[in-house]
Amino acid sequence: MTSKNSFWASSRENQRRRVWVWIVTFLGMFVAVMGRMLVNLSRIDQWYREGRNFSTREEYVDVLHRLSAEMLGFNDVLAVFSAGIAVLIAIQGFSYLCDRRKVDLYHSVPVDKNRRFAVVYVNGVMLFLASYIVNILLGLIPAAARGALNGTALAEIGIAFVWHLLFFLTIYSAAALAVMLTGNLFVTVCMTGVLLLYEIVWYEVVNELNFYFLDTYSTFFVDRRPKVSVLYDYFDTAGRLLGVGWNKGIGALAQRVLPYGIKWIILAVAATALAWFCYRRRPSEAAGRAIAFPKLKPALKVAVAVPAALLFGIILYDASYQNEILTMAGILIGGAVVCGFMEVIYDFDIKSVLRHPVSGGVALAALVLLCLNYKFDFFGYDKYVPEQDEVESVAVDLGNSFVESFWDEDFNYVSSAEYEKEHMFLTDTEPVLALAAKAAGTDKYAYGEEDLVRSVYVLYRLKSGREVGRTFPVNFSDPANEALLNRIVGSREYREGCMQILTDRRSYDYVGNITYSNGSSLVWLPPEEAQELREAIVADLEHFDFTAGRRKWPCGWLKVSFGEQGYGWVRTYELAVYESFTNTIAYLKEKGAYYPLQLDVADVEAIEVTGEHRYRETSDGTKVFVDGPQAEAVAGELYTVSFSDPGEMEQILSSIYPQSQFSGDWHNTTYELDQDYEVTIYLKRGTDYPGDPSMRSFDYRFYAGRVPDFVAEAVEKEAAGE
Amino acid sequence: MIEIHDLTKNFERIRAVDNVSVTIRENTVFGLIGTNGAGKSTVLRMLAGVLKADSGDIRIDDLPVYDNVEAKKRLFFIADEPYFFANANAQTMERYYSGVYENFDREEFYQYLEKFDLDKNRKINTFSKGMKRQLAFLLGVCAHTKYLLCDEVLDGLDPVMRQGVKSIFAKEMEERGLTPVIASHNLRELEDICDHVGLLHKGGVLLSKDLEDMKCNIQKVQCVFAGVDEELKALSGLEVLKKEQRGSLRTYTVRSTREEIEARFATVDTVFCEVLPLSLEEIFISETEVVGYDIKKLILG
Repeated sequence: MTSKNSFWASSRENQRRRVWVWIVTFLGMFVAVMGRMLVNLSRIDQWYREGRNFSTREEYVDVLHRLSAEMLGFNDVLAVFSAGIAVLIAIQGFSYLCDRRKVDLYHSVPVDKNRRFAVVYVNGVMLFLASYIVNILLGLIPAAARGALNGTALAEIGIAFVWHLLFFLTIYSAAALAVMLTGNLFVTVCMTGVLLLYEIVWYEVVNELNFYFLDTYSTFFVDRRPKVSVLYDYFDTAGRLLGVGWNKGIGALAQRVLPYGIKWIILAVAATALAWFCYRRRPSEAAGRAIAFPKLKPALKVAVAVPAALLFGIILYDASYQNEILTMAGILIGGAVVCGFMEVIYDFDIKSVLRHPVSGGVALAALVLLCLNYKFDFFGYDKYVPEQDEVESVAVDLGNSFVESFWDEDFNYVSSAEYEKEHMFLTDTEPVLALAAKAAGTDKYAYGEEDLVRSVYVLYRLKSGREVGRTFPVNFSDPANEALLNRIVGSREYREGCMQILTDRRSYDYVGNITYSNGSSLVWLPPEEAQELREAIVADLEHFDFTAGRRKWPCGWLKVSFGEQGYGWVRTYELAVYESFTNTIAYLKEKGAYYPLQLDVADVEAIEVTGEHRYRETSDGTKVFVDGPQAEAVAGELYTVSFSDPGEMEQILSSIYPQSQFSGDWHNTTYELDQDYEVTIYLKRGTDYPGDPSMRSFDYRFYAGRVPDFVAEAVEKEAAGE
Repeated sequence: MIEIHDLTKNFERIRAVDNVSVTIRENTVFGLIGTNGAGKSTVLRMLAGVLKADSGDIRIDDLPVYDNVEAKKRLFFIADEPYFFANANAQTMERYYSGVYENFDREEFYQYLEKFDLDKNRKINTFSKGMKRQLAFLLGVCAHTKYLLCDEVLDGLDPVMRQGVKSIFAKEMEERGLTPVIASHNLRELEDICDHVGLLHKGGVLLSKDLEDMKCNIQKVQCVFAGVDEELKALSGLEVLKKEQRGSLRTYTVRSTREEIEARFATVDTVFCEVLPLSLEEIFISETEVVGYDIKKLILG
């Protein structure tokens, strides 16, 4: 028999007060899980019946499996609902603390405080858990009936169940803590928002301000993300977990979930312990007050006012087109307004707006210091260049000149930052530090318009274990930098850190197809010889340096597709081929795939050149050529001239470069390619020039300064109507 | 026994209770009297273990009360605005309290409900203020705790119900030694029910005495003397707290026993002489005026 005062008796009694929360939780969960499951199942069934989207029954079944795993597993709607319901359950459970009459009742009866906390807390968890389990079980019924379940789906649902439960627990504990810190439901809701969003807001605000005011601030290599925000964790990660179970196996999924699970357990335990501690210490007279612990008020005011004011400043910065003075003034005014607002909230009295000027002064002083630091960079953030003997190694991103992307072992895209951070460990740090020091001592407005100035990203791995990420500009057009850049690019550590082909032999065992193009040709190469081609490219990259990539344009492009054709995964990546790649070109020639960048006039039917200038008609009816900046402001027709004379075509063909082909970051296409004329090449039909028979015209651009005079004259005459 | 020593409680910068020391004996009715804001409710809430004292000590049967389940098992607190669960009826509340108080007498509760004509199935939020107070009172009585802490419990009750409450107090005190502690701002309400009263003012105790002691030791004498010298003769040696005169009728408030006063006035020549008991209100007026307070302002506003 259960004793009158047993935990379960107390729990039952508490549940009687929470019937409406049970109903809301269950119905909400039903919609988030069951409702969506049924709607999506029915939609997929209909597609299948109508013969849409699925070519085989296996595809249909596979989609059903994935659907059930998503609807009953990693389901964003369920996550949003779980977060909302966690806040509701926690606040409802402990809300009696905000009502003096309820406090008089609950705190005068002979029930142990610890037990009451435990009963309310555990009941809240049970409430969520029971609704969740029942709805998952209900959801499994239609899924199983349609054959939408298999082992992977069930395992993924199981892992997602634990994941959602821990997600719920962290938010629930934070909301419980918010109740303990406050004494009024409105303020409780605000406090919950503060606890859950504070770190995200700080992160966003600081990140934005750093980007605005610090020239060398970079998040390229250094992962600047909230560390303890469960909301950020969830919505940053959940999407990436979808499909992991299918592609990499449940073990891999569990492995990815585990660190978050551990972190969330620690957070939930810490928040619960803190909530319990505050519950024990909380004075009963706090019911009805804004803040339960008056000593917290000044600290809370400063803690809220500072990021809120900075956020206000960011909005102003954007709205005022980067007016720094207005932004700084806005930050201070915003800080004062938020401080006043906090006092009004504390006392629920508009007349309190100017109370406690000391804490308000502290907030404003902190804001002033922050503003001044952003303006004058007291700590020399932008001048920071570590001493050479402090640095263990560096990773540096100079932009890509050879390959446009990177992939992981499953051929999924990974960013260059991720790849380089993992693979590049330059120990010859001197040239990187020299470039950084040079940038720190150069006025950022000192570069010429035609200079190719690239933002270089660097990760300093210090001997102390610290990692510092920075960005700084490097003038790629400056011959003085060329030796330094060659030293970096020429190093094996650099090349292996950003040229995946050098170390990734495995991927080339999974090549689906390879094509080579010079911008208009298209030749298919044997995929079974991918390793041979790779060897040729690797040999060529041994001699590749900055000068080779900067001085020359790629003369062709290899497109390599990895994976299996059909349903599943196929990834295609582009590799640039330079004329200095003698081994690669030899291989291509051997396979009859190599076609020079400059087209043979014998293969060309005609060339059309379109002037992209604008011509303005004057009052006497003559057309005036408008060039340069004025051109954009003048509406007018475009004029096209066609050339078919072999001599003229020969001249044009020697001066053009294929448009919209990957040319790497070491070229400035805006200045190094002419922007005034567009060239269209029409290939002859019926020749043996390789390529897609339906694609016989290709767009090119003149190299800057190499537009033949006869072309310019012809277009101008055409415009003038001559 | 409830012992309160040097109890002090502040709400932020406001001192609500200031060094209060009172002893409440078992099986007596203790009245805690004071104006609004005098600190009665705060003292009761501290007695009930709801509020924690900033300093001082409260012991119930030698147990500290704050955060102490054993001490709380001995008391039931009826707040000035009792809380009932949303949409609850009397039965719901009974279920809750009988789960919390081990000795809750359900049978007695339903009997009392009938006697007080309260429908056990009717939602409490449809009850009048007086009915809610009756229900709170009955729940408190039926919890069968040793101490019943009542904040303004008689407020809002009609005379018949007030009589009913008083008779239940008497019955419970006789049968099981109940010790009610009643806070009220209304002296007349407590006059015929309290054994001991404590007067609170501005957070402190002005006085704390047995009502009988006070009543026995203070009398009102109305008298018309036959001669001029008779007055001096009659009053010599008596402590006269107050003296009024309307024509030849003199009214004295005298600190002494009835017998002593009657004996003294029997020795002088009077046209008319009567010794009358003082109401609680009159006693307080007299006692507090002695210590320098204008009690009419304190108690009667």
